[in-house]
Amino acid sequence: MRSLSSLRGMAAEQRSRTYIFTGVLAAVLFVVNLIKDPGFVSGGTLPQTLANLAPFALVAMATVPSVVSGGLDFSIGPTLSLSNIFLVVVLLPTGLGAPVLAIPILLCLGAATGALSGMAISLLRVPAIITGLCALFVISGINQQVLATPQEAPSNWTDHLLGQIGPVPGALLLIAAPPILWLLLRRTPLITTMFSVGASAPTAFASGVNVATVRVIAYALGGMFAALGGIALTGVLHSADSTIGLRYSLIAIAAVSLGGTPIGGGRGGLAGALLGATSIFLIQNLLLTIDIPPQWLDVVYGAVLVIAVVLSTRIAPRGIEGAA
Amino acid sequence: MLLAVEGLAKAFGQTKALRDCSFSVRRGEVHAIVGENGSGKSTLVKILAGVHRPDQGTVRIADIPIDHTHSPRTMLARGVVPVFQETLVAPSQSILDNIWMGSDGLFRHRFSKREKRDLAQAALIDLLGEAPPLDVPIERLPLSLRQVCGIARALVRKPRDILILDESTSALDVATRDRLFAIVREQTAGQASVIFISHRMDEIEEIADRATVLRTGSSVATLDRDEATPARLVRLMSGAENLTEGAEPDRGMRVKRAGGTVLEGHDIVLRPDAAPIDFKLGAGELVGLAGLEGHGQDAFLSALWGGASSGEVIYVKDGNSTVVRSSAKARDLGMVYVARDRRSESLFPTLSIRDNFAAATPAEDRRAGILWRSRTDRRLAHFREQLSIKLGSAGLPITTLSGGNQQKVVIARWLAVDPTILLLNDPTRGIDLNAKRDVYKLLRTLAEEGVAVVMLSTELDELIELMDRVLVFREGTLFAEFASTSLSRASLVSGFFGQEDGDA
Repeated sequence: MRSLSSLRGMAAEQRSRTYIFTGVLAAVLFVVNLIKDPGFVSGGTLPQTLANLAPFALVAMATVPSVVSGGLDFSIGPTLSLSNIFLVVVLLPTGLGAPVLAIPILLCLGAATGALSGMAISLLRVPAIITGLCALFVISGINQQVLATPQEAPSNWTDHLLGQIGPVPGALLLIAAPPILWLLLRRTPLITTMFSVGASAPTAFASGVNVATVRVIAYALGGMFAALGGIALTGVLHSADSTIGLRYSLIAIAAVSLGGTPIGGGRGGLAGALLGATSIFLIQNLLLTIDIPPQWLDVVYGAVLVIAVVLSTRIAPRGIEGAA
Repeated sequence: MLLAVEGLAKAFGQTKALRDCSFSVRRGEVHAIVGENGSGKSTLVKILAGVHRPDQGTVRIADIPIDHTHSPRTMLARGVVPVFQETLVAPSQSILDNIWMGSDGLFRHRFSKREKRDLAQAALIDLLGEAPPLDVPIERLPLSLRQVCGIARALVRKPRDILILDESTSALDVATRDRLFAIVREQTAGQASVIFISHRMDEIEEIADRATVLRTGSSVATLDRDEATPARLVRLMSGAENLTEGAEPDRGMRVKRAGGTVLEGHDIVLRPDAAPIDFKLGAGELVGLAGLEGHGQDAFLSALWGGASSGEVIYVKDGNSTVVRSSAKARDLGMVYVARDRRSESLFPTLSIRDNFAAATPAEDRRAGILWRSRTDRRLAHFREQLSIKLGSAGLPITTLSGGNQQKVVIARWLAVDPTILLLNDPTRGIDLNAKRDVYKLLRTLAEEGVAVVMLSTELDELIELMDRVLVFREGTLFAEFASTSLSRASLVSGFFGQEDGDA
């Protein structure tokens, strides 16, 4: 068949274009940041800058599993906040604060939170968007219940995340954890199956995929990444704060879209989300260094984001349904 | 008996899709299930595949009944491998991932990556003669190739007991279909059974050992190979005598009827290296487009529909010529297009029959700024009669209708525009015999009224019996043109395969 030969090379080309755009965007923003503030990634400030980036990067990556599997977890921000509060208010004061204990506990907490959302979607058949919104409210509510006003954290191990841990910046360890786990899982059928469920749940079901389980695992994975974000945030803030969850959820969704993971499922990945989050972080950083009146900051921020997302979808169009 | 189905029934809300279905499949046979659309074939397949649970009745495989754990997963584990009528794919996923979807566990691969590639490659070569690149997202493939990938998904699972092919040949070209039949024969030689569903009588005749006939959800008879003549099957299915009843060709009349030119195409190039095509369409003409899948007939039809990337399409009316450059323009000039993929291009599945019908003529029923449902229903009633659309209430979702009736509603939608040129892309694909006959009758009537019809078809019989002339495409250009007098299965097929001798 003649038409087959014309298909060769399409796969790689399509996949790389999204990343190229977001990568170029991040690189350009990086250079502009550097011009405005040459000191922001010098040896001394690099760990701090990475630590500031970490919560953005982690919430963005945390949103990816739910989105590629066809859902949308709005509660990633509150889950990050939950992890932050639980660490500062519960674990550190009660002697469970050592990293060997605290990290597994928080990861389990995050995974359990995500799994509950996943189960509501899979087993109770609540639409993913509704589940996401409800989880957003419920977890935010719990956060406020536990902690009405921001609370200072005692000096603890998360402070090291702002500096070097051995030869590497501490925050880098957190940022690298999800991609490493993702790459390991890529060696199993799980990630591909998550994409299949997101691309077409009826097809996956009819092909014998256990769709319910896959969704629960995807949400749990996202919850786990969000919990890591909570640890990163504790390092940056030195405190716990129950009011920031929603903002992080919204940033995460913007970062994921910017990074070529469209809401709807079946496409995208962690690398794009990481680049998207980096771009957003750099935009924010830039806006803070140039003199924009503070009350206009969010307006400009939002407008720039829209432009960036529109450009990314124009330059790297998603697959075309039914293209022959 | 490998498979024994006893008194199966299944209802979806008010609709009884399956009432009382019983039949059995022997080991190593090809068992055809025939019936019109809406007779329950697809529901039966979905129950056997584990997608739906039956309301009543039993299914036993090798004497073990299916139980409450019944799901696609458990049925696959029991050796029942389906290929569904809807080409189910995960669009953004690669061909390879689509073929292996659901075969692995969640954390463990069943085969190594290397083995998976090799097996998928082998399955595709068995079907196509050559394999498309496995890493391309499946959405880049035309419908026919997606269907092939759906079949390959079933084949790589090495169906141990039962392979189900539900309308799997509907989008395949002849060569691919023949290769599929060879695979089916291999399966049955290896003691697996194949349940085969098709609307094409010639295919049933060719491949089936036995055939069970379904009518309105009940099994009416199971016939052996020598009893299962097309005439008998058709009679059992619907009580009708033959394929073309009520639509007898009257070729002499039709040739003369072609009136003044309404559409001209100049230098239409479908592929960079292919020869340009000139085309003229007269009022009241019925023109068929044919060819092996993907040889340009599709592209030609979209070129006429305002999508020509090179050359010109000119619409002629009362001596005035207008160049058609977009589908919106085509539509304004009085051309309409009935798309091929009903589900994604024609239907609004969540909307009612009425709203689906009125989609192209939204303002028609407005009086004093208000939409009057009763007016829509009156207009719909007119087409309901003309096309014999079987529907209860116009307010029900379009998805409650059978495929054939859905297609009729879509055709009615476009006829409501009152077109002078009607373009159709394989409108009878996967619809039942009676519905096909109604569509043929309608097209004839329209042609008599002076509407020019261009229709792409994958069915030889309908091309031969319906068309005034047929254009055969090959390698992206017009290969041969047959007037109705020189049309035959042999001449068309030889044209498909590039044999000049068919061009008589």
